[in-house]
Amino acid sequence: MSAAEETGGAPLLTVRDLYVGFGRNAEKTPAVRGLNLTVRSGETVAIVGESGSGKSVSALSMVRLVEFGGGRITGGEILLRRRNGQEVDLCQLDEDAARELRGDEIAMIFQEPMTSLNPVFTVGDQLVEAIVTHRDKSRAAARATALEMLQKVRIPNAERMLKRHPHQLSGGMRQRVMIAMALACRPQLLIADEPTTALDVTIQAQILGLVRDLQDDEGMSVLFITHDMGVVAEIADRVIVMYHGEKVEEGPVAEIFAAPKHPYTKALLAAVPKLGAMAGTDTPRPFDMVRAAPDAEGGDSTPTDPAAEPQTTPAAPTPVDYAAEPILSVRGLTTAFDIRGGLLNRVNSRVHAVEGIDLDIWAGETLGLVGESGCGKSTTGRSILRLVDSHADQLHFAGNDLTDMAPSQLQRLRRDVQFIFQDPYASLDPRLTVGYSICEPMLIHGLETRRSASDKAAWLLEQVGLSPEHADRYPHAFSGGQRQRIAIARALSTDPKLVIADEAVSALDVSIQAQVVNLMMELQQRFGLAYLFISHDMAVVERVSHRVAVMYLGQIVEAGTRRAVFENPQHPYTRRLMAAAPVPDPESRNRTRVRMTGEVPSPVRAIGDPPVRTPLKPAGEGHFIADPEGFVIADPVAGQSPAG
Amino acid sequence: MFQYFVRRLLALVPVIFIISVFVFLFVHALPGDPARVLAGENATQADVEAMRRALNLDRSLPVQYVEFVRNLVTLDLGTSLRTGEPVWDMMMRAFPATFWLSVASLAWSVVFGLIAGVISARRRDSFADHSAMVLAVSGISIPPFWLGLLLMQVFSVQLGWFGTSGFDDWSDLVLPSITLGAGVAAVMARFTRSAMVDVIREDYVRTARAKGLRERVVVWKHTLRNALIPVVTMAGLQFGFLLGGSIVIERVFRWPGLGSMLIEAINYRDFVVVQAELMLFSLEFLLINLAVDLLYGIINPAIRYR
Repeated sequence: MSAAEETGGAPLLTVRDLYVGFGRNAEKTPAVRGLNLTVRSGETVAIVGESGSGKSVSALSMVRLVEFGGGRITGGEILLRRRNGQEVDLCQLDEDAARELRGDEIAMIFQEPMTSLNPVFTVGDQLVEAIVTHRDKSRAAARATALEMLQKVRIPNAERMLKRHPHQLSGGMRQRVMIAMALACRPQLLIADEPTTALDVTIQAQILGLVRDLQDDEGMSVLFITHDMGVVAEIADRVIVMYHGEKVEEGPVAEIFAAPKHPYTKALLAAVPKLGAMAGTDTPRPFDMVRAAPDAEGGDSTPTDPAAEPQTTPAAPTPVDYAAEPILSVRGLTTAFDIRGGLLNRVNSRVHAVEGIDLDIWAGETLGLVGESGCGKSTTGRSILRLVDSHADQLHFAGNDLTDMAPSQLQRLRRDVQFIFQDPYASLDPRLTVGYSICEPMLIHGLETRRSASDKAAWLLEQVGLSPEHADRYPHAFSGGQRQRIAIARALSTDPKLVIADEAVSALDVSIQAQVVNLMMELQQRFGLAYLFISHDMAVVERVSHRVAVMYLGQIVEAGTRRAVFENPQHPYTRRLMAAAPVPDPESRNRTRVRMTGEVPSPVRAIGDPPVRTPLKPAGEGHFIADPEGFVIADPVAGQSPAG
Repeated sequence: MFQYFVRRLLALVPVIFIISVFVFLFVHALPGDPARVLAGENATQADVEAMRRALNLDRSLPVQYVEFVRNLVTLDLGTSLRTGEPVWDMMMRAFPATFWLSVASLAWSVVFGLIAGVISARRRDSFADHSAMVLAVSGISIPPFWLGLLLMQVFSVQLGWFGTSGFDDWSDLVLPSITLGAGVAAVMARFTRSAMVDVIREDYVRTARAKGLRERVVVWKHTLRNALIPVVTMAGLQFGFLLGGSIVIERVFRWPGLGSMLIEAINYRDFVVVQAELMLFSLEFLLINLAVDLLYGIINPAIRYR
């Protein structure tokens, strides 16, 4: 199956010594430096690398879209063997000739399915447009082809889909439409730029399966751009590792995983969280850090954080005292958002985001809360602090009954529970120095004077592996990983007892992710912090959690010790999540895969039709599951909410 | 959509009510005593008092206001204090002139502004872009009445291409509508440009290019339609500017429209006419902006009405 390099189709696309740069310094500081690669017909080549490695820029150059983003190909050639056998150098084509190849012989799909379709045109119109641009077809004939393509990407009820607008579709459905559009002219090469990164794991599994099947049917080549080694292992025949604009390693997928040669590849692989890697252990364990090599050629340019590796030997974790009272104990937490409509603008339905869940978190432990987008995990975090309008039957925090949430209680709670959010770029005010951002919570809660607060900010910066001088700088001067460290320092400024980390490492590159996770564990040890670790990533959750709760449609369907849940998943939804997680091991690709179908149903329900609450029942020691009866995965089209 | 429309219409009622309060208070706060003006220069104090009683001006403001609202609801706009003619008839007579002037001004300025804005955005930092934007800034900065006089001087007086006043012929529309629309066109051009510059960076524009569409299609179809939302919003707001501008411009071109009628009524303290006209202007503005809100949903189906 993964033997294209041996069967050796003829080279389809050959890139030689490619240089691409941006703006005035296009020549001086290229984003892609001397890239060489070949994609043979029928082969899947993956380009892996972290953000800024030049992988997307390379991909955009191959369709000559890079110019529209201000880039310029400054050297090299990109040779494509056309359908008619002619060989053209894409770098030499004028825009008109390049345009004719785009979408016809080379097609591309992108990372953001939510924003990659034009919101003002129907799916049908956008598909037809792609076809009639390159084929001399009537609209009716093009429409027939469009319909056929939608069926090919396994969109149920394709006829109806043609008339829909993108906002009526889920992310997974939109990505299917994107694929249908890309394949409409039966291209020789499909360039897929992180096509599953923004999708949930179960949807990712579906899309990857789809791409593989379509490739077999159509015999096309695929160039797959990704940062996710799990996805690489699932799909690639050959792998090209990019680092800082250059190719550092290339080889068959099995070789790259089994015997990586370049230090960067090794570091990358070491940092990848692997589902099941924690089998047999009860407590979380930090990632083993391999020092990402300063370039072999003695490069001055380490793009990772200067303060990247706090050289600490992870101490043996202190056991959590479960005999004590939990630091946070919530019963019957419920949050519903009203949807208004009709002539009188009355509430006619509700989004049942969180539906009566119970949570206990002990001091010094990490409770992992996993689930797919829309399951209510983020809302749960917010509901605890009443950042959204919610209700709890009972809420105890640090020995106090805070159920009523009097304003003074709420203030107290918001001091002792702090947040770290997903997007390190958006969660720091760009116009405030990071020192001020760290001081602000202390000043708001009246914990410190201005002077003592800035002393503490300096100390906190040291704690998170940055230096006190950084306090005077603004967020733009920091990388994503450093910003997340700053966000952690800010969260710790009020000496919280509980930190809610809402997808806190999801937006980071794997190597940075590993560092931040290790930092969080270290701080937990040092300060006895409790974490509510909200994430969609099963492998990361397995790594960091003492206990785990799996959330589905606003309710917890399975909960228990990390070991119980991961080594013996009981609820069908948990199993589904685990089966869908890509495994960064090409050897396991041939295992019989469960074909994923269907999507999670909508949590929107009419008034008077509340969801059925399924209480958790014991399923072993420290392990609880909800009654799996009535667990449904919706038909993907019927599950969509109709247009308003 | 229909429900939304009905609800928005109903929501206009309280707005109109608030406007009526302002119009009423504003008119009654105007300096000058209509009774004294109407009674004539040689009137005695007793004559003025009698006139005041005849106009109901001797009653308290709340009573007068209730009367005003009752008449509005029954569409009884009263009769002009100056001519004795029903205000409704006067307005109907003046309305077409103003209507055509507004339509002509809005039409050319929106079309011209859109095209200039798209071209500017497409060729950012080119000569065309810079000249269009210099022109736009000038259009915003030049006082309309002065532009009107200038155009009149050149094209009517010196070249003799157009008449200088009145609305006798469709060609008479040209100069006043250019004058009135210049500011709007300028604002539209700037807004279109910045909206286009934003939208052209969107992922779906990249998708359109990845499909191999011609740049013309990418810009005028995929980008412009999405950029229209802020532009249309601005067009609705500019309509208010147009209404205000028309009052001055009609004066400059002796245009037999609502604006001229309003200025005359103010000069003669004809508060009945002033009130009616102010209400009409407000209502027009509200309806135009309601139309804009409805347009949103047609331009972009993802905008939901609730």
